[in-house]
Amino acid sequence: MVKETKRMTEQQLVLFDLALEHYAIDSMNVREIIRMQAITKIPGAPASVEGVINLRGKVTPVMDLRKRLGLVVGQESKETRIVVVEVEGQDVGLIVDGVSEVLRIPVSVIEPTSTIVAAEEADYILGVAKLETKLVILLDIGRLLAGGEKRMPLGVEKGGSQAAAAVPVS
Amino acid sequence: MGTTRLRGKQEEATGVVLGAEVSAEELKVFIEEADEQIALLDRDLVRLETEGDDPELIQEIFRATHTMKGSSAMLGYPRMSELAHSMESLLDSLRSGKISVSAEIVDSLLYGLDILKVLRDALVSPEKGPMDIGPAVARLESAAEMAGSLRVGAGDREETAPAAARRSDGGSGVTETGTAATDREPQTTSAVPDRWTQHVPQSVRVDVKTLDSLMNMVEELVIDRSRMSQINRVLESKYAGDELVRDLSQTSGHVIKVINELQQDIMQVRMVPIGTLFNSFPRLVRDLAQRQGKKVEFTMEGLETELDRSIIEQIRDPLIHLLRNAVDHGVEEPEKRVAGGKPPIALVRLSAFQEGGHIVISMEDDGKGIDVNAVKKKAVAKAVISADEAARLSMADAINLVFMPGFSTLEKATDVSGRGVGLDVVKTNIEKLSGSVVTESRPGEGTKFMIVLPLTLAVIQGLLVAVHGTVYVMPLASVTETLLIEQREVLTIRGRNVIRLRNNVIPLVTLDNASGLGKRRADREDKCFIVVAKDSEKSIGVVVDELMEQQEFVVKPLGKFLVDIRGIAGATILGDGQVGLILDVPALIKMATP
Repeated sequence: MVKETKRMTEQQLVLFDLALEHYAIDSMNVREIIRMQAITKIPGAPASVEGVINLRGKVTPVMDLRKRLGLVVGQESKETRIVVVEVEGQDVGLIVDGVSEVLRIPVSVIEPTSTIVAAEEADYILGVAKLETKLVILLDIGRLLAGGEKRMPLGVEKGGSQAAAAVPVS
Repeated sequence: MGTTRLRGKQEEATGVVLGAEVSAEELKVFIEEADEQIALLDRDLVRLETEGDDPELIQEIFRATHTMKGSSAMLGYPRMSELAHSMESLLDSLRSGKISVSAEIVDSLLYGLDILKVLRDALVSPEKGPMDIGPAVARLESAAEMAGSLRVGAGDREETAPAAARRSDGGSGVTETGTAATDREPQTTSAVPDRWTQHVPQSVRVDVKTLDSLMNMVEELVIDRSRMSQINRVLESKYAGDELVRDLSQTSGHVIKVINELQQDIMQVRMVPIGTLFNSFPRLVRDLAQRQGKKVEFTMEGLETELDRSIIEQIRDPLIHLLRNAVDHGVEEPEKRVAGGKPPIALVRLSAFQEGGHIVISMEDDGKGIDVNAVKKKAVAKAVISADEAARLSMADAINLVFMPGFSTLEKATDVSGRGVGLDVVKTNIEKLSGSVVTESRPGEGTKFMIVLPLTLAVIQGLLVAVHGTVYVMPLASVTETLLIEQREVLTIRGRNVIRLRNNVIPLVTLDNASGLGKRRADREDKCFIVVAKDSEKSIGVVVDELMEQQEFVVKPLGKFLVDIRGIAGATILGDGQVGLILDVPALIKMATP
């Protein structure tokens, strides 16, 4: 019960950077964070899919989150990480520019998206967390991956938001 | 199974009927057994109809029914055992020659079997409510009475208490005890204690999940095996002569050998005879033919041919589809056949056999065959191809049009061959299993479908190739040869690169099209390797930089976020821990040959 109430008022987030912006996803989705490793490219895969890696014997797809979000793709650095998330029972790696921290924040500091972002982005952006030193964009990773990745190559069609809208709100 | 048998013995020893309290485990074992017997009955009852009074066959059916009766009574399912008992009584009369096989008898037995199936389903999902077995029992009895001088007294039927039922035909030639253990033995032994010691089970039932998890573990080992041999090679070259290294490589050599054997055994365990799938087909064909007023003689061969479990499961629907297609579209009505100078009874033959690393399933009918002109006309009408293209199509290519999406030659959809779902689904499903279909058809003489399938999907023999630093696996089954050619041997036809290989022109495929995986290496500009691969009809040449080793690979899926990547069938973990991509040859061929 205590846990339940906590989840209602607080949220634990994994914060990471993408092209100078700050993003976060719910830590519940995150399985592990690993260093960059050799990725096998897949010809014909959607542009945002970097390829696949061997994650302890499991073939795991890896996606460049910067490309998926239409951000500038910078050089790989020492800080570059792969955040492995679990979506619909499947592990997916997300390349980020660096993981900064794991943070518990009160839900009250999260601003709903409607006022800040465009409609189609609002499908996978849960809100913006106003922290003391920075603004952090909260991603709904399930919707981000479901909204197009399975259906069509990303970044090609604008239908992503429509597809995501078909997913019931949980 | 063990528990059931033990119970049988206890029961016999003490004369006490155990029942009512059925544990989940016992129920599971019972259902498995019942399913086996039902499948057997399904097949044999249809055989009974065609083969008539074959004592061996009747004995086999009798035994299966008897097993059903015994085990259902033992677990306290009186309706099931009563029904089985009625069937058994009828069969007993058949066996003793009092009556002989007739259509009505077979029908009533099949009807009884259908009710048995319903009762069996009700055990799994009890919400289905009670099922009245009265009509079935009555029908079985009337069939017996009609057939002759059989007495099926009321008293006989009421005697459904298991022990009584069991005693009731003690002299029947099948012993009553340990039904499950003895029913596969044609002869029964006299003394009970002997049977005890003789029939210690030589096989065990294993949950499919356990098998799958074993398979997964073996797959991990197979991956480590490749890695281990690689490390070994490095160690040996680095510290040649070191005793410790030698010991290590000897030990790991042994581990590798054991892993190989383990893998083979596990693969073997996963193999299932295709008969388990085929056995339900005679009934299907019989019912289909009957409903349409057609006469079909259905034969099956190669039931013992073994295939990986996962393939058996997935080949079921395509085969049913083809069978329905054969009966519905292929086979003509008896009058039409006679008018065409053929015997009124049509033949449909299903056979399976192993050929090299493949399983071939062929389905043949002697029906009207595929009308190539009708097919072409239809394809043009449905805008599958243009009239021009249709005119130029070869016979074989025209027949293959029936596999195109959205194609169906029959004007009206029947409830038999599906609605809107065409043969294209059959082809797609078979290709998903890395298999292929070849069709031969002669107008007026019949149609033959040949399905070629791999023995297993979990592990493939492959050839490692490298293109721009990425490693790919070519399934060896589709590789015909490898060539080293010079750049000038590459010709173009309408902008497509091709090579000439003996008398054939083969289109070339490069793997770097979509994602721009870097540039070709300059030093190889003048020469390149070509791996020639083919499916059932066409060949392509895949351009690669390097030919590497040939070994066994464990196939892993790319996962649901990467479905429909054209040309890639899956992935595998290589000896160095990297991921290699397994090429989907049929898809590459489709991409290269419009």
